[in-house]
Amino acid sequence: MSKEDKPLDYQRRILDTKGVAQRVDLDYLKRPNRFRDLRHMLTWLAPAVAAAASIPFILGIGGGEKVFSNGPVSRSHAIFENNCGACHASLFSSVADASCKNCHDGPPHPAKSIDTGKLSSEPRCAQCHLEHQGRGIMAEVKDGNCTSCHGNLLLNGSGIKLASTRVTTFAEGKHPDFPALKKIDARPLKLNHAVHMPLQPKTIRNMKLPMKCGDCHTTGLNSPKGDLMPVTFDRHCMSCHKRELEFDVYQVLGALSAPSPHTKDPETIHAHILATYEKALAANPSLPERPLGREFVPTSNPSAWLDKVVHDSESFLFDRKCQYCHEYESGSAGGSNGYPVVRKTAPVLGRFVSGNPQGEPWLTRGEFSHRAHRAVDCASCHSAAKTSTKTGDILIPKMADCTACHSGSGTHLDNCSQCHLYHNKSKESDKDRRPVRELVGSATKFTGSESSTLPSRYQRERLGAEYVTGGHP
Amino acid sequence: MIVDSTHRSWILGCTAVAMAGTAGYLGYAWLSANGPSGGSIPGLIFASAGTGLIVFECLLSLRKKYPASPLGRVSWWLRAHVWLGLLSLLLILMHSGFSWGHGLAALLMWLFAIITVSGIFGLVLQNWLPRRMMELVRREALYDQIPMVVWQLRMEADERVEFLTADLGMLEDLTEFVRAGGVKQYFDPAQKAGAAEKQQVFVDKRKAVRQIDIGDEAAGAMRAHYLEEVRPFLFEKTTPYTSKLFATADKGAAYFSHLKTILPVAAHDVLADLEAICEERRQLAVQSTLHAWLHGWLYVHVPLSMAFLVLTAVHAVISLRY
Repeated sequence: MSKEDKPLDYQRRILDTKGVAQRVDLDYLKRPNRFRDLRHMLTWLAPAVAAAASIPFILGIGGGEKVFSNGPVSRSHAIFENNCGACHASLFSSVADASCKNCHDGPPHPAKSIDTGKLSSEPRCAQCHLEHQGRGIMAEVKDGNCTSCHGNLLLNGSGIKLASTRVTTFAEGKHPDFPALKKIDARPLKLNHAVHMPLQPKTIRNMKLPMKCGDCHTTGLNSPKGDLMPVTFDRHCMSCHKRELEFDVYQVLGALSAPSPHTKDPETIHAHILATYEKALAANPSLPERPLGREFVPTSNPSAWLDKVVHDSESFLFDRKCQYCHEYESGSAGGSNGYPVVRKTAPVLGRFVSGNPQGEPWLTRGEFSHRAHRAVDCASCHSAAKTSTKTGDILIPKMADCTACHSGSGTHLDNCSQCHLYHNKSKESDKDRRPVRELVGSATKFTGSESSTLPSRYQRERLGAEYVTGGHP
Repeated sequence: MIVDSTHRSWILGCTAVAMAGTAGYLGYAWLSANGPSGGSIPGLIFASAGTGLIVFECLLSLRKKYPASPLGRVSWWLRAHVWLGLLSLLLILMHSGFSWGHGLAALLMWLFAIITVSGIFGLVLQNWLPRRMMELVRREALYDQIPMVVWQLRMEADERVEFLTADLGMLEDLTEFVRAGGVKQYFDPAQKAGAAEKQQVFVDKRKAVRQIDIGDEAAGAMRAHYLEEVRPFLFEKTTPYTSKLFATADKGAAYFSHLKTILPVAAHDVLADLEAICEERRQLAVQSTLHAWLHGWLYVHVPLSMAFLVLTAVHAVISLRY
C-alpha cells in the first residue's frame, strides 16, 4: 500500500491547555453581545421613561399633581382633594395658619373661658391637625399634642390654675377626677334616689319599684350628644305624686275634687282652691251643715264654712304637701300675703347654681355624650345612684369608671380629643369675624324659658328637643 | 462577590450606624406628638442620609465603567454597595415612618423594595452559583466565547465523523478569528501556503473516502444518527428534542452506549470522542443557564435603580415644594 493510499490515522481527542486556549477569540469583546447591549439600553431607558412620565404629573395636567399627595385628605377637606393650592399657598414652606383661617377661626386655647392659663408658645394649626392621613376626622388630634404641654404644664404655660399640672395619659391615677365631684349641688328639692330604686322590689300605690333610670332621665332626641333632658314634675313625677297636690283636707269635695296646679304662684293655688270649694258649695248648699273633721258642731254659715275649708286646705297643702319635695325661702310665711315662697328650682340641665336659672354644666372642661354610651348600663357609671338619699349627692362617676373602658384600648376612644376641646368654641367666629354664636342666635328660636340673653351653646345642645335651629348648622 | 471575612468591618460599621439610627428614630418617634413623619426635621435628616447613600450606590456603575479609577478598588465599592444599600433601606423606612405612603411615595417604596430584593437575590446567587458551577461545569468557557466554542465543537465533530462516513456535505463558512493560546506563525508566505496546502490535502482525503472502514450500512447509520440527533445539539440554539436527549451526562452516556452496540468496534473511538464533545456542549448549556441566573437579576436591579434615582429627585423637589 502506497503512502497516499494508506488511511489517515485517527487521533483521539486530547483537550490540553493549549488546545482549549486556542478556541478563545481574543477579540470577543469587540463582537456585539445582545444581552449586554440590552442591559445598557434598559439602564438608560428606565430613567428616561421615569423622567418623561413625571412631566405631566409635575405640570399637574389632568389633576396629575395628586400623585404627589401623601394620602387622601380628611372628609371635611375632600372638596379640596384636587386643589392643592387651596392649602399649600406658598412654595417650599409648610401650610401657613392663614390658609386654615380662610375658613376656620380656630380661637385660641385655653379650651374653656374659665381657664386663665396662657401657653408659652402658640402652636401652628398644622402642628396638631395632620392632613393627608386618610378620610378620618382631622379634628381628632393625637394625645401627644396635648401631653407635650400638659405633661408638664408649669413649664409650658403661665397663670395656670389647674390642680393637675402633669397629665401624661388617660389612665387611672394619671388623669384627675372630675372637678364636679368636689362641687355642691344646692338644688332646693328633696329627692331620694334610694327610695325610688330600692334594692328589693316592692309596690307602692300600684307603682312597681325599683324604677328605671330612664323613667325620669331621658335624652334629647335632637341633641347630637343625647344630653339628658331636665326632669320636670309634669312629665316625670306627676303620675305617681299626683296626690301631693290634693288639698281636700276634710274630704268634702267628693267627685268635684281637683288637684291643685303645680305652680310656684300661691295666689293661683289659692284661687283654684277657693273656686273648687265654691263650686262644691253651689252644687250642695247643705255642706256647711255637717261638722268638719273631728269637730262636733257645724260652722255657723256658708261663708264661715268656706273660709275655714280654704284656710285649712291651704295650710295642709303649703305646710305638709309642698314641703314633701320643696324648700321655702326663709320661713314658710315670709312671702306676700302670708304665703310661703318656694325656692326656685328651674328645670336646670346641669348643676344647680343659685342665681343662675340656666344652671351650669357638670363637666366644664370636657364633653360627654350619653348617646355614645347608650349601650352601657347607667348603673355601671352612676353606681352611687341606688344608695343616694340626698339631692345634694354628686352622682357623677369617678374617673376610674371611665378608664375602665377608655384606657389602654389602643383605639381613638382613649384620645384626649374624645372629651376635650382645644379651641375655645364659645369664641369661634366665621370668616367675616362674626361670632358664630351671633349667627346662630339670629337664625334660631328658643322655645324654652324666655331670656333676654341669647341661649348659650350649652343650652342649645342640652335643650335639643326644645331648641329649633333655623338654618344655621 | 463572595461574602467573606473581608466584609466584617462593613457589617460591623453598618450595624453600628443602623443601631444609632434606630435609637435616634425611636427617640424621635417617642417624643413626636403626632408620630414620625417624613416632612419633619428628623424625617428629612433620615431622607437626606438615605438618599445620599442611594446616590453613592448608583455611582458603582460609573466606578465599574472606569476600571483604572484611583477611587478605590471595585471590590471595596461592591462591599460598600451591599451593606450601605441595606443601611439606606433602613434609613428610608425611618424617613417614611415605616409606612408605605401613597402615590409617588408608594411607587418609590415599591421600587426600592424590588431593587433591594433583587440585589439580595443576586448576592445570594453570587455566593452559591459559582460553587455550584464548579461542580456542574468542568469544561467552563468564557461566557461570551460560548457561541465560538460551540461552533468549534461542531466543526471538530464533523471532522471526526467524516473518518467514518467520508464527506458529510456540511458547508459552513470558516470564521477567522484571533486565537489565544499561541498559534504557529509563518513569516514566509511560501511556507504558509505550503502548510495550508498540506492541510487541504488532509481534508480532501478525509472527505473523499472513509478512513475507518465500518461498512456501508454502519456508515449510513452513523451518518443518520449524527445528522439527525448529535449535530443539532452542537448549535448555539439546540432543538428541544436534542436538549432532552442530552439533558444529563447519564442520558448522553446511555445514548452513545446504544450507538456502540449497533456500530462496529472500529467506530467506538470516534463515538467516545463524540460523547466527550456532546458532554462539553451540555456543560456549556448548563453554564449558560447558570450565567443567566447569575446575571439576570441585573436587568431588574440596574434599570430600576436608575429610574428610582430620577423619581427620588422628583419626590424630593415636589415634597419640599408642598
